[in-house]
Amino acid sequence: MDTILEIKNLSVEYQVGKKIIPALKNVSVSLNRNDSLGIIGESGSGKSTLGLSILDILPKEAKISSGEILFHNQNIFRLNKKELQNLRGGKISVIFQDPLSSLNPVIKISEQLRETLKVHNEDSSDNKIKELLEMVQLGNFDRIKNSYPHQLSGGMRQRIMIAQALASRPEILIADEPTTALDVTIQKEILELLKKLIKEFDLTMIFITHNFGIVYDICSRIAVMYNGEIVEEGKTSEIMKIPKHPYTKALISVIPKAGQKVKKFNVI
Amino acid sequence: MLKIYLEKLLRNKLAIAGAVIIIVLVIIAIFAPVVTMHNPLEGNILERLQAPSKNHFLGTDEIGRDVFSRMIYGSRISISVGIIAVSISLIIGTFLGLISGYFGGKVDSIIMRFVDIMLCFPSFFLILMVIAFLEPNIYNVMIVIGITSWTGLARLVRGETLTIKERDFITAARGLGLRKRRIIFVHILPNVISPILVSSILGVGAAILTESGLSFLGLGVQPPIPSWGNILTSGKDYIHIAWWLSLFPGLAILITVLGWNLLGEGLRDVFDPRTN
Repeated sequence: MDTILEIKNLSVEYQVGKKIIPALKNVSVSLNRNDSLGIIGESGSGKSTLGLSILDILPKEAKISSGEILFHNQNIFRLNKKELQNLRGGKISVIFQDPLSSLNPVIKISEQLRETLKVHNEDSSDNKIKELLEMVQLGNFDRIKNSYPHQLSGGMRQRIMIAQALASRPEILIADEPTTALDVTIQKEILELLKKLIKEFDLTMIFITHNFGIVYDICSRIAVMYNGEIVEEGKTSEIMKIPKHPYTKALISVIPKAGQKVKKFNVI
Repeated sequence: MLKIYLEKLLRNKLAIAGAVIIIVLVIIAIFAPVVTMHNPLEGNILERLQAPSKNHFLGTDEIGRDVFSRMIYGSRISISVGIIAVSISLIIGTFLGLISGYFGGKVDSIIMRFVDIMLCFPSFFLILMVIAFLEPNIYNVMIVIGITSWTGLARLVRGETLTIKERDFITAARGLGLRKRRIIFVHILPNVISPILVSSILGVGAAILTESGLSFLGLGVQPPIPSWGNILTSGKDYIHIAWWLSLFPGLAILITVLGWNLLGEGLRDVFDPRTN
């Protein structure tokens, strides 16, 4: 199998005032074509930082202190401006957690999609935008075309984010907790949509989440992060069967299972 | 979005009052030759210092020119100085504020320290100094007011930019491969436009006041071209015998500045998400 993304010994630190806080410590992980890797961990474990560093879009306070990220054997930290811009949203796309705050509130939906298409030299006609929206199962083009983000529901906005991310037919899609901010029913719909699109677009996927249930459903491999380190990595089925790290065990124990009686919570 | 703002604006009585004052003034300024009956530059010395009458609504000045005509033509000066000076400061302030806020670090330090230095000088003193080196005429007055009054706006825009650039959609825009220039001017600028608009409209009032002050001191618009400031100057010597020479230009300045301020404050309320 060919490896398309390889993260080697990556360390990232955040500088807060004079304090230096390590966010990632020597993280190494690699991704084969058509893999879907679930990165799972609690808040502050560094999983989102890992996602942002793959596109080199970390905030200013963050510093990459060591390591490299190879995309098709090319270190992305050595790319020039133009190559980096082609990579971002072109070869590698990202979907963020909160679909409301990830769309610009003062620009119409259709213009935001058009912008992405233009940046990556794709056809940016109304027809193409309509096609993109249909791809994410948003049919009512005439209404959505002239809408601003706040006029749409959370699920619709997340679909638009997905359309935007896939506009340039990327090879890798990074989904940073794409369903956390949504209702459970909408979560399911979005996950089904993602699954369908992964097949359609032949995508390699990195799925960042803190929800083991979702990972089990969608990912073939799992990396568990704890305190900035990958503490366990392997095939989903194996990790689910024999979790080694105590944090992994704890995560698996809280997955609600169908048919299982819920223990009564003791109320004082 | 625009519709909501417009409805809010129409419900705000003070803002409407301000807008009406400004619109009336602009219309009068544009149609000055139609509104006035006398030439503002030529007077009849025999009719000097006449009190307001049917022929001369606001009386005549010390060389017999019609004060009403002079004031109407003077409004052209005030309004154009206000708008052009503010446009200049708007462009400089917005641009430097955006750059400073977005890039941060050294660029930010340099621009903001420069702003601090500018703010150390009383701005009127700064304007006087520059005008003293240049020729005092209407164009220089516009430019000088413009290039000395952008500092507050730059700070305001910088502050807004700092909060907007931390928002997720900016990270998302970077993640989509957009250029910095595009992120700054297409994604950040429209999000900071409302405070810019409010501050600029308030700024027009301030600029008109500064122009009047400069003309009053003889460093602005030069006689015989009429401006509210220099009508006031000639009026001050005759204040005991010709009150109309000082009162009417003073009132005109007051009402105009009030109009811009009311509109500015009204817009601030309209853009404030806390008011409904």
